Amino acid sequence: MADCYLCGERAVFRTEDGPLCAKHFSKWYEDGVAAAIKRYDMIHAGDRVCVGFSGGKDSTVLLTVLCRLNLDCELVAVTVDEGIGGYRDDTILAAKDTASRLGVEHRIVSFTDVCGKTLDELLENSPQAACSVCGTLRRRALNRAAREMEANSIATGHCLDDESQSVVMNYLRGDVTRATASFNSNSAELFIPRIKPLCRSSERATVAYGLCNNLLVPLPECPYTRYALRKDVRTWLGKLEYAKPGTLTRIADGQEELLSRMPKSEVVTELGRCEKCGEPTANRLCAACQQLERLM
Amino acid sequence: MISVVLPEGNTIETEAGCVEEILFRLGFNPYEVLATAEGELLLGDEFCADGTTLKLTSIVHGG
Repeated sequence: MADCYLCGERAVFRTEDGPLCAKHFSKWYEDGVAAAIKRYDMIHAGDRVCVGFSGGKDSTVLLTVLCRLNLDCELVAVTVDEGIGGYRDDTILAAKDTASRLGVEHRIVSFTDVCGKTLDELLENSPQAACSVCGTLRRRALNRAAREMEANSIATGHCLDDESQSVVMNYLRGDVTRATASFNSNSAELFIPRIKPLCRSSERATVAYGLCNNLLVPLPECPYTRYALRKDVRTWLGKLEYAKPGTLTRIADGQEELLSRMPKSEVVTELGRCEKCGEPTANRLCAACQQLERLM
Repeated sequence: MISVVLPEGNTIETEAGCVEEILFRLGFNPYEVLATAEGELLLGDEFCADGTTLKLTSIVHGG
């Protein structure tokens, strides 16, 4: 059993600086999120920040920490109900409960509102496409809800692990455009900017914070996860992180360094409006409407 | 022997030992799982004596 290196109390989490007790670990975690917000200039005084709030572990910690940091901004939360049988009902209840406890304005929007069908109905014959379809429609639902709620930014619960996994996945897919973030458009006026306050906090520390602060309730796993490339990458990187601690941070640092050396593309892609739904797109139809045309 | 509540909710029995040793024995990557006993988070090198109930939480959720 190790003691907290700051106060000598029983330690609950080992950081790179040393073991910490529950109280000092919570402070360390919150300071890390605050530092990331400052480092990447994510939130400004008077902002109205819409938290993409699934009710799962990461977004529950995100909303709680943003409230506890007492930032000079207004927080609202949006939960997207994809319509996944045996999965979403419990997480929505957890989301309602947390938002109500924190006193945050909370809106629930469903895929049925967005396209008239649940994700289960859309994927009846092609469950392998789940993560791609779900991600595209969820982004649209969130963007639309945030715009209606007059938010300046959308905060998502993506943590360090998600960011590092995405870097590796871009290379595995050979997706140079995403790997180098070289797409340059006039999207700022049409899309609500995304911020990721947990981007420098590990998933392990995030869940540990949730457990230390009694924020988490047991929830089921999304049934479509088994189809995702991310699952394989997550397992692989998790093994590397255990064997060589700091791997995830080095991947994220490396990506940041790479992007800082990349010349910004001078070709600006003009975005217009989707012919069907009016959402921003560089094509005749937006990605969500293209997905829906294939599925319906 | 100790009781281990697995992330999906099933309970199994296994021999006493250090948290990391128990996780490896059960086929988990210690980075991906957090262990608690009586509501307190445990470090990987903590010893779980006979009679302990260890609860495991996977850090992975959703899709």
